[in-house]
Amino acid sequence: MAVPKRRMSKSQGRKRRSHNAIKKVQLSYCVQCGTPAPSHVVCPNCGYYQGRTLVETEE
Amino acid sequence: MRGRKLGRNASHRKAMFRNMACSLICSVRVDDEDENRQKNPGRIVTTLPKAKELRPIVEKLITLAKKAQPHLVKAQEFATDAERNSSEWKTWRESEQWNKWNQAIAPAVTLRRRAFSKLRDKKAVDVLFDEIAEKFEDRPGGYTRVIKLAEVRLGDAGKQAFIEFVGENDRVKTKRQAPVVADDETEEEVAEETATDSEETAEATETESSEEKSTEES
Repeated sequence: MAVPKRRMSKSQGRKRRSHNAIKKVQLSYCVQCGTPAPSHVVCPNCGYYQGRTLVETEE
Repeated sequence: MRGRKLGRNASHRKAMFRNMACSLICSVRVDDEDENRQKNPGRIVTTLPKAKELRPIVEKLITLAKKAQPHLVKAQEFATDAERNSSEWKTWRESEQWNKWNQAIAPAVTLRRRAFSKLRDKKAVDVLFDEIAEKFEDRPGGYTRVIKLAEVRLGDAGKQAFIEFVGENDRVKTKRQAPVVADDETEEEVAEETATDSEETAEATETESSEEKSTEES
């Protein structure tokens, strides 16, 4: 079976992983209450989505 | 295969979508006395991929139920209001009327059985044919909507969404108003613009001539 000849150096491994970073989620702000949330999602605070309240929240 | 496998084998998937379709359809009928009744009828919360896969399944069932509506209306013509096994009902049962009724309602019964074979739940089939089919009579498809929720599921961070029947909580479209401009103002503006234009040209000629002078002087 094929086997690696040399141990991978720290530098080589880290170089490979240099593109693996996860980007931050882009947040948008609720039109009604200004709570930050991912876009195209019902507002987690007030339940507002595209012109109407979809999820009633208890105060 | 078509669609998502959702980490399940065929029978598991089939059973899951059957249960989900039943839950969604039954959620339309609300029991007011039930303490644990849901706040938003006609809606279930699941993961986003499951909601998206459920959509065609439920919509096809609704199309099935809608097909039965004209047959039911037609059969109503020959039906009787008499109680079953009463003397009046017995005469109707023996008459030609019953034969016609039987003929007329047969396609609707077939469709009901087809729906039942998919759902295997009598209550869900009842709700589907009695309430949902009537509700969506004039709508040519697109009976459900899937909307994403912000919170992910605790434990596996599954993306959550809900699927609900269209008709309630519909999006209200607000048209943007065009600015109202009176006719008098526009005419004046046009007149002003032409006036300023002519002035500018006059200025330009002046500056050019002055520049020429300055070059001559130097």
